[in-house]
Amino acid sequence: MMNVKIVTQQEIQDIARRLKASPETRLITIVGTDAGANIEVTYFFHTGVGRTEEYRVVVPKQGGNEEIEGISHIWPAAYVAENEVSEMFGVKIKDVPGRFFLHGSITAPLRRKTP
Amino acid sequence: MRSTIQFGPQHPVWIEPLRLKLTMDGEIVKDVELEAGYVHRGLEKKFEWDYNKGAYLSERICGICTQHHSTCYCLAVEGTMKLEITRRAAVIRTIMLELERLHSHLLAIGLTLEAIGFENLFMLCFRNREIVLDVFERTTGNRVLHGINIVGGVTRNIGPEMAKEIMDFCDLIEKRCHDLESMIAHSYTIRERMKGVGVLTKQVALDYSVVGPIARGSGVPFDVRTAAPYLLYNELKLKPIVEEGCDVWARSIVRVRELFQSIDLIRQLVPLLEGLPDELAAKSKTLPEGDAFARVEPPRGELFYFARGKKSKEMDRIKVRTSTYANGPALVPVIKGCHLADVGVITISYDPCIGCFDR
Repeated sequence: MMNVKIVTQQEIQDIARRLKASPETRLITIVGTDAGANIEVTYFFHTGVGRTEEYRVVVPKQGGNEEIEGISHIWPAAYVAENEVSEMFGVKIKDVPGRFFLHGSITAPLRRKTP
Repeated sequence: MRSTIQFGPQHPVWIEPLRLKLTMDGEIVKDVELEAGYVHRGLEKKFEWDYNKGAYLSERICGICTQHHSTCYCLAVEGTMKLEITRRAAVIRTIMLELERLHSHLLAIGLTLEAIGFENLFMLCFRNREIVLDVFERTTGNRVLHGINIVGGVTRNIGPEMAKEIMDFCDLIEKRCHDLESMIAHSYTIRERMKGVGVLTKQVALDYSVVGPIARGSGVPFDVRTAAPYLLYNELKLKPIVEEGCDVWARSIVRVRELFQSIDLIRQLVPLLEGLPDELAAKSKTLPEGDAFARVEPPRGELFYFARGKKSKEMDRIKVRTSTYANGPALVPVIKGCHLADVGVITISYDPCIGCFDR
């Protein structure tokens, strides 16, 4: 069902710009997952009737100093999802404050300890 | 002179807590800051447990679209297990989803009318909603949290007698909805109060990827039931209901028209139960493994569940993207520039569910 393409941070910017040009395309959401040594940030787009595209940026864990480029300047719809990925997994995303739902005293509750 | 007004977190127009920090210039809102998280319960972390208990938990995210949450959860987890549910279970699930749309839209229409001071119509909407809840009670045993979805199917059947009751109910609710529609659609006062208020243009709706009646009220024909059909929707006659007004009136009229669409869908679905074997649930021989996602169309708009299994009874990750999660940020461009007196009716026309937003 899912056909995820692994891309770089720069590539996801270009993809977001390309998809934004089509009026049929919507950003569904951005999902963060902790895969042990990496944080995976997966972008889900609806690209037409019965079609979706999924792209994943893999961010190696660096002790909480990870930072990636955001796409909310291209898709305003990404704003809440980027903030949530940031506050839940401790990955800084450029151009967003990184806080939306959680109180400042809570740090990255969905991030797991690296084995 | 500019001043700041805290709109919420506790405000009479909303049932749940959300905060809007409004920067005012006289009566006009110049800037808005949206703050959520007051009812954040950390449910995505809690989902990392037995996948069989997840449907129970997902129902508790929202008290209105409970059936949609549990159905979407089950579809996502069934995707990780490559499990096909029986046709009878699919029909029952779809009937419940459409019944839920009926009661949710009646609630949303009632609350919007109450926000502009029509308490009598609000009560009328709730009186009509009550008979939908009665049908839920008769079919599932529960009025709000139905608890019939499990991974692999459903737990309660709809027999021939109950099917006839549902068809009779469709006749009754259709008549009542027609009465309601004529009262709303022909009311000069309601139309004048709502028209031109809270305009969300089509381009902004696309930029913010809004969903549900908010998108369809702004001329975006996006409905997951037709854009990515799930369960039995690809077998039903269904066309997204779209209004071009982009305002509070258009969003409300979309909901009113969708009442009749749901009644029509239930009438198409009930005969499909005839002759189907009474198999309600399919058993999986495998455990959840790998990634899958599912999307459904709750009354408020697209709901998305991402599931990752780790070949164990416990799930590795569940992500929930609810309708208000998509629609909430689009409040900001709409409220900017409006009158303070319109903020309440604009926000309630989005039918916000903060329990869904925060999770």
